[in-house]
Amino acid sequence: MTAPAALRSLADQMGMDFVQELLEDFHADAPWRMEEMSAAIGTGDCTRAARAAHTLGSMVLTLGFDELGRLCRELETALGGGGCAHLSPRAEQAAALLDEALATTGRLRAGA
Amino acid sequence: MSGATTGKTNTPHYKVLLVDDDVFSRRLLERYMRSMPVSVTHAEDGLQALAQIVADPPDLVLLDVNMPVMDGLETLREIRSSPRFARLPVVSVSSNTEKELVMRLVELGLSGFLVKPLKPSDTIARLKSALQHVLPSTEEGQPAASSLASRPGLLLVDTDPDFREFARPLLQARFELTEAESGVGGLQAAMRLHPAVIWVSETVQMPGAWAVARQLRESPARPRPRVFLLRDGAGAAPAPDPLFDGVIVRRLTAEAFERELREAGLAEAPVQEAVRVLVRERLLPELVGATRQVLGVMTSQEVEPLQAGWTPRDGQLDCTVPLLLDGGGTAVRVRLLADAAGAAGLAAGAGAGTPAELMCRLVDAVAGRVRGSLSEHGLRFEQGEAAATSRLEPAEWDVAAAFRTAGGADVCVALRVGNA
Repeated sequence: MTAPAALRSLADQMGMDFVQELLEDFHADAPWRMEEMSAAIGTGDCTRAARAAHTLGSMVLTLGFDELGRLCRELETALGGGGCAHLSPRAEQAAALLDEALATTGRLRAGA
Repeated sequence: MSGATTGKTNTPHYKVLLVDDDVFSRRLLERYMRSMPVSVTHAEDGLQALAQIVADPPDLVLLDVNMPVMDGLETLREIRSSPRFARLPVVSVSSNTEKELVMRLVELGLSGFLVKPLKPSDTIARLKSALQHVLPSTEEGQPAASSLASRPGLLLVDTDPDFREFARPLLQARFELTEAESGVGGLQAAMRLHPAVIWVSETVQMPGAWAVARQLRESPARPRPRVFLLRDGAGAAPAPDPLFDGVIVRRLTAEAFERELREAGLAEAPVQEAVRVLVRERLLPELVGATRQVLGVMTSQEVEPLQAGWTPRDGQLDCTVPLLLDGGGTAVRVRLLADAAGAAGLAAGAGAGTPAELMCRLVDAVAGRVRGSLSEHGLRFEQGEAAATSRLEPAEWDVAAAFRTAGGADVCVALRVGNA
């Protein structure tokens, strides 16, 4: 996965230092948001899971990971409708996409 | 902190309260504001935000909508329920752009929107724009626009203490009364207080009544007050004087004084007069802001105010919502006017039904905002049904503002105060 256009645009407009700080936040926050969502789905706490999906979605869309962002929005909507056990496969798919995003941005951080 | 200045640059410094449970979004916004003259504090939910707003009033609130404990909609409703913060600028930050939610926020007096994901150029431009519209705080640190008198001001400039003493209770029943004994004192009070009505006695000197009236006419202060010449009762009826809006003859009985007020157009129902002054003097900027937002959101088009105003044409579509004062005979009619082609274009762009249906929806939303503004002044109005008519005659109004959409449609919004 290459760096999304949105991330390059952010670097052009705001500078690479800005992007580095953003990625630092992303790496600090995103994994535990995903864990929170998965755990909440596992325990049937749809409200908490929906909130985590919402936050994660905003985060990854800001950085330009659109496919993951759309999946988070779908999960948020589905979780808002109640009943979340059947959404575990979708959450796992989101976790895989997040891993890719973290790897991509990790390379950017290391290259700075 | 707002209103304070950094000594060397004289740049205003603003306090921004950032309300978002998402630390990533908070940090992102903080970074976007780094180059701006702001100090940022944050809250993680609506309850925390309300506590902070009371403890240390900010100049601008950036409010996430989707939050735990108390969401953005409820938080905004709570903020607006306090007269002290009824006009505190609040900009929502949300990925949710559903029109129903947006309209509810607009009706509650939202000042602007930031849409997630937060793109740098757009976000920074909107933040700068929001700060430009922030009013400086008072010295006590309160948001400036929180309290307004609901009665019109009247400045009585007269050298006769006996008449002032006689007129005082009669005028105080209707007006926020200020008195001055000289022309200089009157001008100073007029410049400081911007009363809606000024009575200047022909007996005042240095400067005299005509010089005072001339200076008030030449003053750039807007809205211009209604200036009346106060003269003795003896002698023939005075000729109209173009420098004055009318003549008040000194009457020394309450009955004759009331008659004089009625003839001068100053003694309609006190509340109605107060509402008219409020509409003329205070509501226009809010009307412009609300209409621009509503038009923009519901037609999905950029909307710009028409600086040169708008002349109604024949064949215009006029949609009106009456706001009826609780327990009183006063109505404020909120109307939206567009020529037939403009309304049809708007309806097509908005995917609405007929032009009349779209116009009614638009004016309904604008009226909700106007009603909210009036309630901030202690005036409770019930909102009636929106109705559309095709008009051939130009409408009359107390205040009006015109806009042009990116699609080229001209729309005029207007308020008219009258009987229910």
